[in-house]
Amino acid sequence: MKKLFLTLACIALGGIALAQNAQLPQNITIKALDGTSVQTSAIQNDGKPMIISFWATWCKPCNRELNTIKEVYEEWQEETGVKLVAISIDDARSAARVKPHVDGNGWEYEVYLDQNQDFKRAMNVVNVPHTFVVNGKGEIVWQHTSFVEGSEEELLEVVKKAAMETEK
Amino acid sequence: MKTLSKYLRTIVCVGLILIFQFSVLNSVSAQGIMGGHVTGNIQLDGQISSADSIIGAQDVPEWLLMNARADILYTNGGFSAGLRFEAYQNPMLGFDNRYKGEGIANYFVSYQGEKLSVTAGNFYEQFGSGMILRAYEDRYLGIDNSLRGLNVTLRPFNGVTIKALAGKQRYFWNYADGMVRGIDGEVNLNSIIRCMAESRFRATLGAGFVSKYEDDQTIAFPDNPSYRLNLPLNVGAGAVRMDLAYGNWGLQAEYAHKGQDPSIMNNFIYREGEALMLNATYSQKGFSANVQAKRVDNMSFKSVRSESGEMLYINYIPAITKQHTYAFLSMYPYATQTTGEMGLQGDVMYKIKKETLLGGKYGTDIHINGSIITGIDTNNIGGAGTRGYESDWFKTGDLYYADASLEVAKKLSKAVKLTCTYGYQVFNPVVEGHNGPLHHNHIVVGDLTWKVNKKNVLRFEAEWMGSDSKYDPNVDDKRCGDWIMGLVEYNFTSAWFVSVSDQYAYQDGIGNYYNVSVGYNHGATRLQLGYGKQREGLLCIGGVCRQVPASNGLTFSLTTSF
Amino acid sequence: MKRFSILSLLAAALLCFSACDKIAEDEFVVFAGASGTWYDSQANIPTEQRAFVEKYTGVRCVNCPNADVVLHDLSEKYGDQLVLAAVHVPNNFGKPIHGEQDLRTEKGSTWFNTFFSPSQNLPSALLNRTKVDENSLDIIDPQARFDDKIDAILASVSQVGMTMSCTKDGNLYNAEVHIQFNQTISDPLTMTLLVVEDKIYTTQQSRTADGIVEIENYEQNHVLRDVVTDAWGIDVVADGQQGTKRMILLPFEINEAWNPTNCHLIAFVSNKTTRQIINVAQCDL
Repeated sequence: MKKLFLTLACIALGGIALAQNAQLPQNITIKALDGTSVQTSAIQNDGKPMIISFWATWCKPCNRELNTIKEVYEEWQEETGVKLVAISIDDARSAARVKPHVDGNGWEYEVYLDQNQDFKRAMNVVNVPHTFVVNGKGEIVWQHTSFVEGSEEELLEVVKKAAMETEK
Repeated sequence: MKTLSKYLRTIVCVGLILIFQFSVLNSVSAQGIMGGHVTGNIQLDGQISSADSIIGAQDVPEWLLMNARADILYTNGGFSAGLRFEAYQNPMLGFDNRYKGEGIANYFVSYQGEKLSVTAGNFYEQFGSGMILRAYEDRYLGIDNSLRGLNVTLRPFNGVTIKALAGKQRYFWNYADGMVRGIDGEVNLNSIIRCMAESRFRATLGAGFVSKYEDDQTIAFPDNPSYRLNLPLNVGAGAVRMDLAYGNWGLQAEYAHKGQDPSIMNNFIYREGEALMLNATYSQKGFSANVQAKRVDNMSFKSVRSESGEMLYINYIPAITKQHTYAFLSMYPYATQTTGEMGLQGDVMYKIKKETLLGGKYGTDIHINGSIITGIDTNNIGGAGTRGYESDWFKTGDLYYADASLEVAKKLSKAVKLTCTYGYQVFNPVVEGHNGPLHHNHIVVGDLTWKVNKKNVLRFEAEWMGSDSKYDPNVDDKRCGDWIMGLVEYNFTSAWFVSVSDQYAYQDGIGNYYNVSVGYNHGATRLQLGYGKQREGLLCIGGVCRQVPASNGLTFSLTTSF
Repeated sequence: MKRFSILSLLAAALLCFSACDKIAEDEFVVFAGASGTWYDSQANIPTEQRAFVEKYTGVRCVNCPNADVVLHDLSEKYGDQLVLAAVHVPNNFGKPIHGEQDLRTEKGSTWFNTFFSPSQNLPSALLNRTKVDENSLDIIDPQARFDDKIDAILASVSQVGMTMSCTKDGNLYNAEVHIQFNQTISDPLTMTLLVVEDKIYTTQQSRTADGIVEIENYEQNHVLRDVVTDAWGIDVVADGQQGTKRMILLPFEINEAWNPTNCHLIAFVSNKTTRQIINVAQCDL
């Protein structure tokens, strides 16, 4: 049993130690809300940081996260130039609900559908919400799974740091 | 002793993978010439279970059940290669025991270019909405329909996508005999027709074809044992689809047709299958509505004709009912009846503006949803070895499922948000293969989040379900009866959480599901420990949603990605 | 490159569309080969031993008519004690001439492919499913003393006695086979039922003094039409004790193209593992 927990700890630490600045995958096909296929290389923000958030219509914490950020999104954009890209992992069951869901909630984010979950797999997303911060060079500098009210502050700090790095 | 050595073996394997990553990473960064990245994710779930017939967690001889998996992905520009290690020693409750064992379950090499993508090895793919082909996985449900073979995608011009694939489906630790081949094309008219480029009218058209080959086998004709079924060795299925949008309006339609496919799923009848799915939406900022309709007739499509159960589906017919996340609302999940069903679903979201009478200071979100699913009309002709039945297209069969829900979410103050939900459900147990009276349930949910200060958040959830069903030991449906539930969750930033919950059948039912969970999140790593009794189903606590198996005792879960 | 890949995708598309079988409604079910249930038999079952010769032949096999002469003589000599079947082989030797009817059968081909290599010389024969010698050509070679081997079988004490009959009910025929264990047999046994037809007239190639000629309206006898059980028979369900008597009723259909008056029904019992034939019986339709 001891060994088991040692291994668990080892894996956890390993995961942290290995967190390197990987690039955003380039040529994975996802869909825009109007049905056009888009490659992930199109996810760009002119050298400014981006938040990439994997979510689903049925995921309450995801909705809380995106709704919470909505309240402060304009301020964030002015302050850091950040863009939030929301990647829906809804499958055929709920994919048709994504556009109404986004509009109904009044989200101004760039939203894509990853129905086949190719992007999700490439980004090693296991559970939603899973949020990434990508700096101006397209490097993943931070990631976090789960959302609780208040943790958007931490996210903002990371985005600010990424924005400053970019300016340098 | 034997089981202990099995765990050790699993651990050693996971360890070896980690060492492998370390060494690859180190050599990469040390030499700096390969320029690739190694990423991956690891997941470990375990249960220390004790028997409890009341919640449906079976008596298991092994005291520790564990599912482990690690995906390792190497990416270098457009090239990537990956493998997945899986270990089930022994499989957790709710997972098929045929998963028992460990090894490399999945591997692939892939090139993703701008105009051409090629994957050899295991791949996941979907044509349209998946009505004729969807190779997918759901790790929490133990479903992995990945195909092992070759998958090619061509994008010769902007707006045109052509996919072709061939492969065999994963079947636990083997691959099924049936060969799956498919081709699919999709055209976005706005991209290829110049004058439509800036049009408010958006249109995407697609069509696909899938064929399955399986060797002949002897299936007796039940009416006369001297005869056997003359089985089609190649079974084809085709689909056409469109996705249209004009301004705020949207319309998606897909029609699929399947050739003769006698199988254990349709009791070996020769009737051809078809499915139609329609979806219309209207949305603008703060208001949206959508209506979905579908009709499915004999559309179970598997790569092995004698496979019953959940494995080896080539296609995927989604349920159009809303996927609820509150415990009682999702207690009776509706599963698509691929052999035949008709359904209608509607969804309206409305945001009452801030600073209005009903909207208050922060506005109010209203979400209304309803659905009704019935069987199709069937006029029997015969059993196996006949066309089976005839069906009047517009006539409905028995009621399978109906629900209606109203959700009102309102921010009461800067710190407090309240969501109230009322739901009504009618559930026919026949969709789960039992006969019995319909269940009628009323459900009320209150969900309150209180942000005490920047770092401390409390969440309270109270649910009630009143049902006309009564627990019957002969049927043993443990969801019957009237229930109440309470949940308190405390979060310290998004790093720590503790939750305590209890579900109790106070009338006409049995069961008391108490649960205490503690979790820790750091970056993309999450560790969660739980103790208590748990139903299988979708669980959303501590800021994450995931499907969980039934359990009784101690559970632990670790996920990390790097 | 682009053109090539588009072309190959089109080819794949065509392949896909052809890869969809459609079965007509009257062909949803097909005859599966007779199968039935074994019962205890009360019949009087003779203990007589008979021998079974299956000749592998073909209409393009120029030496095969010689074998027919030999078989004809053997048949005259042994009468009912010798049961004959002619299996037309799946390779080029058996291919019909001038688009005439095809005498080859699926299950006969299964037998040929199991017992011989594809390049086997013809004519060949099996006596009770035992190769007479390595190239099995001695059916036409007097030196091989084929007669002696048949004599040896007929002189042995039969392990299993057999008798059979056949009745007709509408389009359906019913074979009734009785067997008796004359000694205890512990090995599993199978019983195979087949239909042969005499007096089928086709063109046959033959080697004569003038070279190779085509003989029109050559009389083909004992032609295997179908194995109505599975190619390797159905299991004999019996305890195998000496004195045990079992019977089975097997319904089957015959093809409209066959002439029932020229057809015979053959049943043989063989060892399931070695496939050696233990005894054989024959009756008219």
